[in-house]
Amino acid sequence: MGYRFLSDVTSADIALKVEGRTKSDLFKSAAIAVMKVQIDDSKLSNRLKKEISLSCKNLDCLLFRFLNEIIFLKDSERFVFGKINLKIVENRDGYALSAIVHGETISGKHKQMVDVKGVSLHKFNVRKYRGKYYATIVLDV
Amino acid sequence: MEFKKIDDLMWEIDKDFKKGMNVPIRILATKSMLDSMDKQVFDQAANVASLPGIVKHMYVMPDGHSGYGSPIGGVAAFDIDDGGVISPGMIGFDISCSVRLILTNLEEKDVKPKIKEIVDKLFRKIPSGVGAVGNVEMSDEKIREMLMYGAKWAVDNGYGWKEDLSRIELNGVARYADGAKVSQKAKVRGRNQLGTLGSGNHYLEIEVIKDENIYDKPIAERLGLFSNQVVILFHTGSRGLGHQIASDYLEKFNSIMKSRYNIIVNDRELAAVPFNSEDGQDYYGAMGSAVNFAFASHQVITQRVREVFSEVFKKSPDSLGMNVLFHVAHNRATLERHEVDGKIRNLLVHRKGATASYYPGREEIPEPYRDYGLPVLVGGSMETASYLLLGSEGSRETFCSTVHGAGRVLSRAEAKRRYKGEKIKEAMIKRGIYIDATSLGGLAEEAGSAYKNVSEVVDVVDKLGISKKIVKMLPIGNIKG
Repeated sequence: MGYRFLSDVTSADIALKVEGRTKSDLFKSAAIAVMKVQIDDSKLSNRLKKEISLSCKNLDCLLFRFLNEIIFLKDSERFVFGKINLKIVENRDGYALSAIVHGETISGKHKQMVDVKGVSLHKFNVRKYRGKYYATIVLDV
Repeated sequence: MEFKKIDDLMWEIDKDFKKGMNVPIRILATKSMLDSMDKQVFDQAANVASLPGIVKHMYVMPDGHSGYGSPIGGVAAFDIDDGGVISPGMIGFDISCSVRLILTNLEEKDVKPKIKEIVDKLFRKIPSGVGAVGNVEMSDEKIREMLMYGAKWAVDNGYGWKEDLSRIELNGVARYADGAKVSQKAKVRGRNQLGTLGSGNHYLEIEVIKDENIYDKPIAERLGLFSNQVVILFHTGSRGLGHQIASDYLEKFNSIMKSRYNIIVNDRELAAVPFNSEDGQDYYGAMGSAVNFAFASHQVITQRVREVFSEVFKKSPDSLGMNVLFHVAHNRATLERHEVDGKIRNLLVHRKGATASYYPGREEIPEPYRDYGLPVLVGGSMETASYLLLGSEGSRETFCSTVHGAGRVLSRAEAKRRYKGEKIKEAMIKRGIYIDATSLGGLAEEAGSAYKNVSEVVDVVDKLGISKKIVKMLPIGNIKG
């Protein structure tokens, strides 16, 4: 499970293909990918935690909102993380996500890569294929 | 795919290329540039050409490369009196991403011995990189005023000079801004980031105008430019605030465009609503607020640049001649009047990774430059060159639009595979460009070889008479997020 970069979708921004055995796996991998694009997480401690709760009518929209929330945490509280516990449940209105992310505030000890500023909807999709979940994501950097 | 040759530097893709296209695509490029453009560019341009109300042609500039939604280097104009739309994805997430040029009366020989001190001080004073936090205290009231009055707010609050205002597009204030249409989340992201540079392709450069790179001496002189002059050019936008606004409205427009306006798009990133609708006006007001944020943020950075030069040279910024020459955006939609099929129409011109290039006399040009044509600033990649051009008559073809930069040829992933940040830094220092960067990985993604040759790109619009070359500027110092 994990992610890889795609070089034939966009040259200006960063395109990723993410996969997971389950919906939760997929979302976790996508979140970690968004972090790793920005920061080398090898020196990241997990001493702080934040909770994220979201819901939406379909998985596409849930992932879009979830990744935007992570970017918001980075910009508003300078919070980055390397560990994540996450649960997705299906309900009458669609899907609900609850996550706890473990990390810390960005400081000089973290090696920086590139700042992710937004999640685009270009080619954005979540799909299930032969029992696994896949997502294509284009990040604006 | 078939390209019809209109001219040696202009090519057309017919409406039959993709189902649903309302207008053909016109690409400004040499044959070899056209051949090397990645194929996603044409597909993305076709999606824009299918949006409601688009007139004449969808244009791709010579620096065109694939982005999301629209290609970067895309220009599309929509007739607002005939159902024309506003589309956040056709403007770009970094609303009002802009380039500003500040002059000095210093020469290369004055600055070169102190370049390390200047770059290090600028790097410390102008926050950059992932999660950078600015050094301007912002209350809710201040944010409200800043989103309304842009550069004017900044000047009133001690960031920059009154004279700066007439040397900024729109005279530094988007009067159509409506802060009430900006979400609290966007304001929170903006609060932390006023006066920060960002990362990716954003940078600040100390540059030199060599005698052989002045293409029009009389005009250059009248603009205050001279041989061996040192200038400062920087590239940044509306940071997280603009991105949050674009994301908020992108999600909203996707959920309402079909039910309220019966609009269907090929790519969700191009979600759009009629400009003359409540939703369209809401986004226009929010976009204007991001434009004002970018103006204010550039004022704060201008102030820091003036402080650093003043400290290093022990003279006031005024006596160092540190005037703003100009400030232009390359991600914005602007209401303009243009002639289409013999009729003057009210158009919302979307430029994504494209700069306005108004020909002399147009009312959009701030007064000091109205007789010259709009000053156009083209930032190359960080280690190559930048240009100052002036808008000229040929821009009537392209809704007064031109290039914005070099344009990528390699994706970020590919650039990172090929280059190492440390090596690039070493090579730049060897070539006489002193650099400080937050991220070496980011440096590799922005390597000069990942971009087209900016001089070839600029030559296309110069030869087409869209924008005239005035000077080329070469870097001697660079800071990058």
